[in-house]
Amino acid sequence: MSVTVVAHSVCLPEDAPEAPRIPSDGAWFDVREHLGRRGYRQLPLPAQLALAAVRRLSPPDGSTAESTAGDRLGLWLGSSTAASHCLADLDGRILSEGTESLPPTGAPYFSVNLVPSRAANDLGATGPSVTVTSTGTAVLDAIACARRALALGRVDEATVVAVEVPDGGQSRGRPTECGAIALQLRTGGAGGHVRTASAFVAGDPASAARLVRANLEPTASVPVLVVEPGGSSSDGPGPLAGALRLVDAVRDGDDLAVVVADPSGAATGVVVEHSPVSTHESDPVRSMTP
Amino acid sequence: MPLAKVSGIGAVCHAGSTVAEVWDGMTDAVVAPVEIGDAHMDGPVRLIHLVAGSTSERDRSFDGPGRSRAGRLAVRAAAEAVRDAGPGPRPGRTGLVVGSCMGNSGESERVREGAAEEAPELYGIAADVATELGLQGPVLNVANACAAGAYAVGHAADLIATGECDRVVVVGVEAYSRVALGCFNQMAALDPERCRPFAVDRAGTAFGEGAGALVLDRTDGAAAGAAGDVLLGGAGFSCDAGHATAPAADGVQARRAFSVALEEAGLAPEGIGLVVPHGTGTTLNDQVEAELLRDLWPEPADAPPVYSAKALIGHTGGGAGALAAVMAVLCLREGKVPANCDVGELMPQMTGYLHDVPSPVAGAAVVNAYAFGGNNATLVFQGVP
Repeated sequence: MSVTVVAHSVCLPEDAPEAPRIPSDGAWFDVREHLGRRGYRQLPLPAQLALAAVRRLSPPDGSTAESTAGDRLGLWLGSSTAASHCLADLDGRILSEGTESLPPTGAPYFSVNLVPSRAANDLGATGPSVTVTSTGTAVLDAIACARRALALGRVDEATVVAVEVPDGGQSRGRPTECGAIALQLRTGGAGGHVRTASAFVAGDPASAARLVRANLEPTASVPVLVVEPGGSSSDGPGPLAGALRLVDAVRDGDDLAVVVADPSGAATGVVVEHSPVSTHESDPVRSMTP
Repeated sequence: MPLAKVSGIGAVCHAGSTVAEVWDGMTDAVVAPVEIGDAHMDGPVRLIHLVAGSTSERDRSFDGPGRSRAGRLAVRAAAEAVRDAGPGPRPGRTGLVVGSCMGNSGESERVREGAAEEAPELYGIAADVATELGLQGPVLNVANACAAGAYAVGHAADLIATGECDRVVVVGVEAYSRVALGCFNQMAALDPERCRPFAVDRAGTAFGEGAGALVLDRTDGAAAGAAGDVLLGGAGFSCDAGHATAPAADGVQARRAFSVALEEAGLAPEGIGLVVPHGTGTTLNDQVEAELLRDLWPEPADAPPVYSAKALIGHTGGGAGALAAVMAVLCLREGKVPANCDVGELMPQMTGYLHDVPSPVAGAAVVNAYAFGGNNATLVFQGVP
């Protein structure tokens, strides 16, 4: 069954230069500007970013999206770093000031699934709320998980929120990104059709990426962007940058495949195709790894 | 049609270091939580149900592959499940879903306190297991807190249903984490005695550590279900979309997850022969779940036996749903459920539902798993007579 992107949004600095478009820290994010003056300042950064992205969701053509009954609406978070971010902060407080210093609003966020659940609360989404945290590939894994749920009829609509944040030094050479992207997916209809694939080849991200590309089976002319965060440079683009390219493609009506291959050997790819015939160049493979 | 066949199970927890030991532990019902040794955890309640044979939350009594305590637990349980399942499809058709909320948090905590120089990635457990087992299909981690193991089972079923995998290994795992224990202390959600689900004077939960693993295989329609097989019949998921930590008092979404799972399995409540509840020992969770069960079976004489896993092994967080599933499968294989651990006087709503003697299992086994964020999951396992 075809799964389509019906709306998208980004929560990133609006005045960022073209490259890099993903900041490495949250200094740009003003919670009051993005979410309002009351009720959000105590939430951890990943929850703030996720909420801001979800609230900006809008269809590519600017139309008003149809509403889906809450029980048929699911929410998937993809983040390799949100949990590390929250845990590092909470553990730092325990070590320096003891457990009694843990903030009542922030302490429950040791449980990273509160990030999508808080967004589900905003949306009235009472379908599955799923938190995907795979190392490196979580952002695209969340899209893949949501696509499966739609294809199997578990939900009628899926909101996917991709959030990456500074992770307290646990990234082990992977690039640091800070921002959020949201996609709204449904079955059928017009728009960018989504397919996904994943593979694992222990310690060999390049081979895993090749497997994923083969399994994705993109139309020959569809460009394939391979993101290997931390492959040979810690400053290279990361998974959020890859997801942003997918959003750009949806917005512009372009076809694109993005494969994120983590140094562990896990790789996941997402292809967005608008029509069977692509308008792109014949040599589609480009790599974002220097 | 069933979602998958449960071809293999593996477990390591407070009740035992293998599935056979866990069954013996369920039968013996001996519970002995200990104080953690972490000097940096200053909360008043410091109990943990360590894995069998372990003497502290950071010892190396169970060695093996894996870059962390949680990783070693996960590899151990997964390897046992794969041995139990026997030969499977080629590596590219075999996936892995790990359910863990705290991941390798314990190792990161040691780095922060200066006891170690480097920690593996927080969710590097999945790579450890996939590497050890030589898997090449999709590999991912879901972190739906205390329901992560059950969400992992559900997502594994989706990987099979979409045709991406013929076999998926599922592991739910959690090891000691100072942050988790500290936050539960801060929320006054811990019982200083032990984990006493559905006890009238329960005072919160008590953590445990462990890993539960299942191997799910694609079924071939009518060919599925040889005598003695256990099948995953249904899985239901929902979100309260309400309070951050407390379950919705009306339990509407928990009931819906239950109904969805039963409907998928083609079952009515009369077809249920065992319930392994979430039952944490926290006041509101047990209240809401007890009312759910009472609504389905108003009279205890008509109800299936309810087996309280956490009373035996503690609350294993992301491992809980998977370990409960392993115990449910074990009960279906054995055709009986052991007596519950004694937790003292039961809350009135549950008196008569938790048996203190072994009982036959006549019907499907249902596993509930709930989590912070109002995440609800129900799994249905069916034995083939």
